[in-house]
Amino acid sequence: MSVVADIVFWIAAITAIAGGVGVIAARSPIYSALSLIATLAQLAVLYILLNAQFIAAAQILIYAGAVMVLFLFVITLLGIEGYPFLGAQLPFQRPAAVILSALLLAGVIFFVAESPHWLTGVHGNFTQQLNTDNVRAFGVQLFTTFFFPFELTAPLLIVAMIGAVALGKRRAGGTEI
Amino acid sequence: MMLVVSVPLHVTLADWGSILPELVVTGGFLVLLLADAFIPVRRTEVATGIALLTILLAFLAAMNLWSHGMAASLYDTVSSDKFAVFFDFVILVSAALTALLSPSYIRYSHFDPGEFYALILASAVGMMFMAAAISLMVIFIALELLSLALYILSGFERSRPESQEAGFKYFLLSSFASAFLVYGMAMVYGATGTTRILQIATCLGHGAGCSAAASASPLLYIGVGLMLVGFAFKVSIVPFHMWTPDVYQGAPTPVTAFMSVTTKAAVFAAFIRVFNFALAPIESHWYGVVWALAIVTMVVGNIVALVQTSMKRLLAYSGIAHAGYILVALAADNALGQTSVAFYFLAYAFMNIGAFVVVAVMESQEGPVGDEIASYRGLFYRNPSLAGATAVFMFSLAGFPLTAGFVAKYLAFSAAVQAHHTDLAIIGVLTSLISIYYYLRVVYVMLRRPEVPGVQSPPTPAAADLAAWIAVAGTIGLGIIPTGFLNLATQSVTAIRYIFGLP
Repeated sequence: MSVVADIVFWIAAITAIAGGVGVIAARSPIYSALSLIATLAQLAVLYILLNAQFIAAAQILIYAGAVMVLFLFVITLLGIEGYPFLGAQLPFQRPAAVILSALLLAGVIFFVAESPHWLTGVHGNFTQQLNTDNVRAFGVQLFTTFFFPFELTAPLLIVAMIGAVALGKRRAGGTEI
Repeated sequence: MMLVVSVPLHVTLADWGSILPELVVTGGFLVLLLADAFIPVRRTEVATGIALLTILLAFLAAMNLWSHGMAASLYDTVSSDKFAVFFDFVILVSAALTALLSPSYIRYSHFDPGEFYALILASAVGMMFMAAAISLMVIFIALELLSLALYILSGFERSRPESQEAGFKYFLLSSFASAFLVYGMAMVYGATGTTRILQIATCLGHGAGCSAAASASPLLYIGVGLMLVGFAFKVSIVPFHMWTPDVYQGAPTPVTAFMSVTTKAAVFAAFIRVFNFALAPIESHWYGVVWALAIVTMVVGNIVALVQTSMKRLLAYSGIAHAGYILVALAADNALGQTSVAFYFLAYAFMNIGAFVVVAVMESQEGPVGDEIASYRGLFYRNPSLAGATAVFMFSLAGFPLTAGFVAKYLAFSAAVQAHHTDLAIIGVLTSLISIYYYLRVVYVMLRRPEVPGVQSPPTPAAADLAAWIAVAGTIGLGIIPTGFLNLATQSVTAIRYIFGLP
């Protein structure tokens, strides 16, 4: 990795973590959602550093774009700002959360220290394809290996639409049940 | 620079032929949706007729596929081997019984019949693809397809808050479990470099360019654990069973009848393909967990069922217990175990849907209290034929000889013994003994003298009556002469084992 790439990585990584902290620390849900957009955008930068340009573009378009806009719509439409923060519901929720988070962190540190490559699986020819011709490799995979799962999402989307209509529509009398 | 894409799409007519039963059901699903706009499908009879015709055509297509299936088609993502086709039969028979029991419930609850049957068929498509999937991607998308349709169906009775609660609860918890499953699949993909079941098996057996590193990677074991959680939730294995009683009780009864059998059948088919075949090389690593889950499930399911007062909740806990017995067969990881899972679901389709037919009839005659076991009091004097059918289903669920349930349980436990897991078989038999109490309590309540003597029940609706008689015939037939069906189950398992190079 070149020096420039290193610098970009650190900027993106630190901003992503800062955004993540912002999601849980912000008082207003709007600010939380905006922080999440920052995190997602920085993750897209990290994907580009990993030579996954297509995923980076999809990340921006779908997550930072479509999904988060929907989140903001829901937050503003429900006017959730006026709701009081309910806080911890269970008596031991806070200490339990601290202990479990510490365990998770210890586990991650242990594995990374044990072997930095524990997350790397098998490198097939896929990785090499990715380095040369990313979007094309993706397209070829989508229309060959993953052609059928891709087609199968068609009935899935139809069923989702039927669900929205069947559960949301009003009865003939005009009353909503 | 212009890129010339030179990869042709190799999908032939034979590929589409190998998924013909699924395509027929998809066609029926679309016809039901579109027909709503042109002809008055508001009439329940028309919609039921279209649904039953679709199921019949798909059944014929599946029978044709039995001898002409392909081991892999559509870029090695689906298989039409006999194992998949056998589960198609189970799913289609269950769908047909559901379609017969639904019309009176649809009228009584003012459902839109076109939408109702369209969703049942859409769910069946997902189930059939799940049973046929040989790619983790198809398993996941098929599971989402069947689940999404079932969430909607569970909340279909919008006038009843329990049904809305059931739909919402099922949606939230089950989506959570789906996330576990897909996360696990992503990790297994990361460790082995493939989503195809056959290649995962080859890779973990250190073939096809996979080193020993793949099967030693922590990534693989985290992935396997997460997938196990996902599957266990969907088939209501303890401790992932909490949603089951609430959803079974709240959902409209025909929907509960349908999903109690078919969801388990489809998910167990994929469960077997993944755990007994793809992950067979690392069996020693997952066996202990599955062993513990099977024991906890059998014990908790049967003991909690003892105190139920609602028939649907009783059947929910009974379903949890049966999932435990089937898990014993899966843990055996041998040909007999896989055969017994296939046979178990055929038997379960008849006896469990039969029991729900009774609940639906009782509810249509007595209103919501028809679900209470107490309201079965004196049923032998009010409606002898319905009470007789109920007794057959209860005896079969308890596993009495000469019923389908006995043969199924016998096979599952002998598979465990054959695999030297005698402990599982012993616990299975002991918990089955506990189950006799709550199944026979229903029969006992029916035999008690009614509080008001001499009252006769109104006649059972003809279609539901037919469904009950088919279920009785199936339950007793499979119990007395199981050989023919057992032979089919054995053939289906031989076919799938042959693909993986196992005897």
